[in-house]
Amino acid sequence: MTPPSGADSGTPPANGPLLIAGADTVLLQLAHPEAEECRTRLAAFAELERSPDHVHTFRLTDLGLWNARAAGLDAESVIDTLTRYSAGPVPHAMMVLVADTMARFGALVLDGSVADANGASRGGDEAGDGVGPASLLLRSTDGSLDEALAEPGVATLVGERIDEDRVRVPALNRGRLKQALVEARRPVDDRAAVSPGLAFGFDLSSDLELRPYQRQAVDSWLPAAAGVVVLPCGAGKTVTALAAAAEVGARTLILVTGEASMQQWKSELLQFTTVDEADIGFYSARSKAVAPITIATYHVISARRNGEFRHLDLIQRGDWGLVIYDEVHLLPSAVFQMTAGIQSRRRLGLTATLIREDGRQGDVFSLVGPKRFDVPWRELELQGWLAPATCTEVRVVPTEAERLAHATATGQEKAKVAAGVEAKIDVVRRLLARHRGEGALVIGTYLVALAPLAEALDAPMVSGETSAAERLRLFDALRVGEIDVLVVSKVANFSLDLPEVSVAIQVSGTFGSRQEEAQRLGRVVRPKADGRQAHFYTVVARDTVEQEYAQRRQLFLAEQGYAYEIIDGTDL
Amino acid sequence: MRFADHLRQWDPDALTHLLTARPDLLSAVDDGFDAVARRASTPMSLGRCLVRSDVAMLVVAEALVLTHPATPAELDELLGTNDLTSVIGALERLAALGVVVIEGGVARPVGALTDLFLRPLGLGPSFTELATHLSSSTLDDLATRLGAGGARSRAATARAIAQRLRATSGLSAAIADAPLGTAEMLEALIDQRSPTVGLPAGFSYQRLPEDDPLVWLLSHGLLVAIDDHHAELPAEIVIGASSNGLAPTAALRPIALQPVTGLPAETVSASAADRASRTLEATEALLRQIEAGDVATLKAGGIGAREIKRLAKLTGIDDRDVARLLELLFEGRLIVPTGSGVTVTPLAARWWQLSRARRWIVLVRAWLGASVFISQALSRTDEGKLRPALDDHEMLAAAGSARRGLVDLASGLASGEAFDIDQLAEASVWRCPNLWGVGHPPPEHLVDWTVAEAELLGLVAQNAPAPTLAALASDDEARLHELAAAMLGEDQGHVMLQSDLTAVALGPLSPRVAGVLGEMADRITDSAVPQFRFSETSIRRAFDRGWGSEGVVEFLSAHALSGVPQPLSYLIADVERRYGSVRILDTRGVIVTEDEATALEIASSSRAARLGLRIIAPTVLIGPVEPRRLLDELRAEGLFPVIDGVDGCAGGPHAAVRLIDLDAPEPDDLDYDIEFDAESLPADWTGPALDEMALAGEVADAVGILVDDPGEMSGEEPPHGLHLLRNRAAVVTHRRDGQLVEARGVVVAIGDSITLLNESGVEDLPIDSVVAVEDPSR
Repeated sequence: MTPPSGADSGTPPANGPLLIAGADTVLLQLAHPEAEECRTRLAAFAELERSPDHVHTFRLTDLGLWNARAAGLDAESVIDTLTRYSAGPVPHAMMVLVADTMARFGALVLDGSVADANGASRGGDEAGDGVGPASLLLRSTDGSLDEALAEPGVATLVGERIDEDRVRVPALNRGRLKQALVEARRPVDDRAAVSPGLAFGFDLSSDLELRPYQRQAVDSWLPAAAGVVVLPCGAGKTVTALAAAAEVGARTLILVTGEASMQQWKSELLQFTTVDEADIGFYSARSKAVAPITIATYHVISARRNGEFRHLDLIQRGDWGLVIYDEVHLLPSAVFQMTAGIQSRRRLGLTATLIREDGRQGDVFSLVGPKRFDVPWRELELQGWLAPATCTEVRVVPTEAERLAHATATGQEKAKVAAGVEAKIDVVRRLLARHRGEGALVIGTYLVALAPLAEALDAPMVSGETSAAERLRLFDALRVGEIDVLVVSKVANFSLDLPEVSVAIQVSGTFGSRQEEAQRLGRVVRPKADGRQAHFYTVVARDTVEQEYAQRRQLFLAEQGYAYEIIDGTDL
Repeated sequence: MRFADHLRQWDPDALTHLLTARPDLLSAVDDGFDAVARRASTPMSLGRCLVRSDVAMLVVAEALVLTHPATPAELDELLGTNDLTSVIGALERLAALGVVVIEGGVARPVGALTDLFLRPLGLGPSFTELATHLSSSTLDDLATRLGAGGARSRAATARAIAQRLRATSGLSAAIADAPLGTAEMLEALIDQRSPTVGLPAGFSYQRLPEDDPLVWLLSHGLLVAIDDHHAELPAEIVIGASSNGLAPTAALRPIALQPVTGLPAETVSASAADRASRTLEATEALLRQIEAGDVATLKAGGIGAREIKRLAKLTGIDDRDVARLLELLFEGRLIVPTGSGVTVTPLAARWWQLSRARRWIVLVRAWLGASVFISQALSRTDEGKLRPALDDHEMLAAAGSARRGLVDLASGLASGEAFDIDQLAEASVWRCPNLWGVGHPPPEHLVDWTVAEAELLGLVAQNAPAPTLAALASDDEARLHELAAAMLGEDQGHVMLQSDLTAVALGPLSPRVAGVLGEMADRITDSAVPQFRFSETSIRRAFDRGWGSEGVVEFLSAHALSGVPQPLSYLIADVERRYGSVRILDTRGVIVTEDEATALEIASSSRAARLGLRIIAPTVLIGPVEPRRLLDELRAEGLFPVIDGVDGCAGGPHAAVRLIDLDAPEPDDLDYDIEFDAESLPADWTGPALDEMALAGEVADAVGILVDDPGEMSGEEPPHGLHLLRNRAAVVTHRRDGQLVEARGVVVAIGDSITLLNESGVEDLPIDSVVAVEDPSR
């Protein structure tokens, strides 16, 4: 197809901040005076791949461009932006890529009410999940239906062919069909009706004022009522989701990552909405209460006995008007399967990053929905909604005995030996002394190393074995300043809101996971009342496996744009 | 005036033009004008010259051969083109090439031009030449029919007949009483534009019925049998039959390209610049690979498809492009095949030193002068095989003509105008019809290949000419360089070093800096703005190549726009600290003694120095000598050594000196490293899906603990380490039928049983039967 020409827009190629580095990659020069406005425009359609100190790399991906198309951008405006901000002419190959990829979204449309061969409406029948139309209509707007149906696995998911451009789709197959077509680079614009669900009205608390970007996120999500809102850690994803739920005014199922998160959501529901405690139910390993607002863990939903998922029917039972997926980038495959079956319900995914370590971003796109809103953390930092943070790697030298133990250990044992290097205790002590009174979390992965550290620091510790009540008590104590330091295991990775904590010291991690790094950093970047800076330290045993993990972490943080410094423990 | 005397009067420019266009004359230059004229008049030299002539020149030359000497007007009349200007133009071009001589407004062919076989008009020999093959009675009979009888000689009769046949009325009179179908046959013979007619084997018109049209034509002298197998149609008959002229007027005029609407000029320029840039980068990457001495050739010659694909993988370049660029490098004499591989030539070193624009121009010039269609490397032959690169494939004479046609014709289009391939093919063929001969693929295919090649170089984009094409066409080197420099940018000497351990060039990087950076960091993009990533491995590579940390930092500091970021300095220092902390010694024999004294005794012997032995531990010596020789030498020294295998078990138990044979086969090793691949699960696998969340749940169920946070299960110290075994090789000791047995495999699930996947399939071991689970690598 012929791409629209940027030159036709009347905007001459400028000596802008963008460098074209291949058919699908552009580099943004931060030193350029137009860099900030260019970044804002780019973020709408390009994936930020790396954002280190001087030059940021953006990639034009299928999902990025489809998300932009779903958000209402067209190829012309994308090419216009590229042309407007490029330091030189935009190559034709890039324009073709944009035009061709964006034209794919909308070429296939899924409609909700089915007009049969006589044109009569058959909408409103029971669907596989008990709501919505029993069958839907897949139509092509560019005559590509035959090609789409020839894609692997698609033919078995559709029903009767109505004419050249239309085919019926059993409602049960709605999600799987979208998945298969995204796999084939034929994204479906799902405009089929969503079920209203059982009504359950509530409001936001009168003293809660949504931040502008939160309001914008809700407004972007609401029209399609299916999709993902991407907000940096600390930007208030929970509040944004509650605002969306209040707009919907229906029974809501919230899927979260663990019990601590459940408590967090409940606490925010009570604090920021008019929902009564009695209307909130917990569905977890401990409790199976279903209420108008039910919070369930992914774990319990995906738990199986004798090969069967025992709690998936929770979804069918409640006639939910909205399903919220917290930390949607962690959605386990069982929940993907479940989500494929509830495509007639409103879906809201929340995440700080759409990066999935397993690369299943396409499933999030097709099953939860396209990205509806995204705001770069730096923009929020500039606006004062996030605290600026510095990242420091502190190197300690293991003793000869520790080196020997590390050398002779295998597999994960090496990481444990490195985690427990004794010199870390002294370094952590000195770091805490440097930030006395600022509220600090000492985060680690291995209890075998964390427990002695907590003892040496004389600080309380929260791990998976700590009861939920005790965890909440300790978190509250840190929040209000009763204690200055809390040693935590991986339980603190997710959904832990400690806004006044400005120092995080991680003493061990899980193989340099990017998710974990983002989540841990998120603990400290929530804006501080006094505007102070956040500090994120990683204590690493030199010449051990930790140094390798640390390098991955360093890459991730530097790519995210955080200043990253390495110091030796002896220099503290 | 003789042709040699004409040449004497030519000015130097004209002579230069002649010798440039007809290089075969150069060897005669030293012998003077007479020798040059003689050489220029030979059929072979004239043939070489006319094979590169355009349709107008060939048509006019053919007409002149038939009727010479002739004025341009006479030729125009004979041809019936009514285009005197074009006739004059063609004559002048022929004259400039020394093919005709124009004197006093009259043209005549030079030397053996009359013998030429290049006859676009399809005119055969004249009747006067062919008359020698006719009997006197046939000649007289034909003369009578045409009212040309009564001439004094046979030759005069032939001339008179020829004169009559040229006129339409004459030809009509000649076939007035011919049998039915004769006129149609004659028409068909004329239309085929080839004067020679093949005769059937054993054909004898005397024995065939008179009313056969072919027999009639032959027996009446209108088709002349020159031997038992061929007959010729006299040129005058073709002229007589062409009442509208021999050649269409259009044949004398070059075919002008009719522009079609293309992309905006800016888009064409941008696309061309992008492609030119990428091609230059890719060529450089390929050349670097060849410089590393890493390209093999086929036994039969050329670089095979497998090698090309390997290079494509190594360099990240499309394999078709790799093949084309190899051709280009070869045509530019930057690489040359050796017996078993390909090596760079001394020109390559000079090429690297050129500016970016100049490097590109070298490639463009190489393409323009190439003897093959470079786009055909790695294309499929008719037999379906992939053509190797550098294999003289498709060395078609049309290659140069097609390229020149594209350059000259397309460069005439205005900005924003594009060309149509078929029309470009037609116009290119007109310029040199004899180079697009029989056996070639159709012209539009050849032009299509040529356009693809020009697109690769960024001379053309979307069938529209880039600005550089016009400069190339006009041979304006300064302009070409100016445009190339603007299009490709200047080489940059500096990069932006970032704390994510990347280096980004904000434009094309100078090959020298890129080359050194490539030793210290991995190139992650091959675009015009190259990016590099530093890692432990890449810094180690730099150290392996002789760099020290100071040198690396110094180089980076000198070429960084914003200083060396601290994480990069740490990385370099880290690698330096660890570099060489473990050393590998090259040795063949290891001597182990029972005590230190024996080791010292050996070390201090005269043989030790000769054998290169040295002590590396109190009772261990090593040397670059194979064990069998060591054995003999030490026995000669009065010792009693034995040779062990590497397992240390082969020697006698009482030997005071053991020699370890490093070449001895290693004992069977345990096969711990079982690759696990979810797809290798049996098709009928009904076990649990390999999902972390589900697994966490199963572990919880299996061991009876509450797991409320999957994050905890994936990494935190659990009450037991079972789940850590997932996807790992394990040795599971379990009870079966009262016996303790070991099972090995990859743990794919843990629940009521431990499920192992191994070479024999899936094995479920009930958890109650499991006694121990061990990591086999310990």
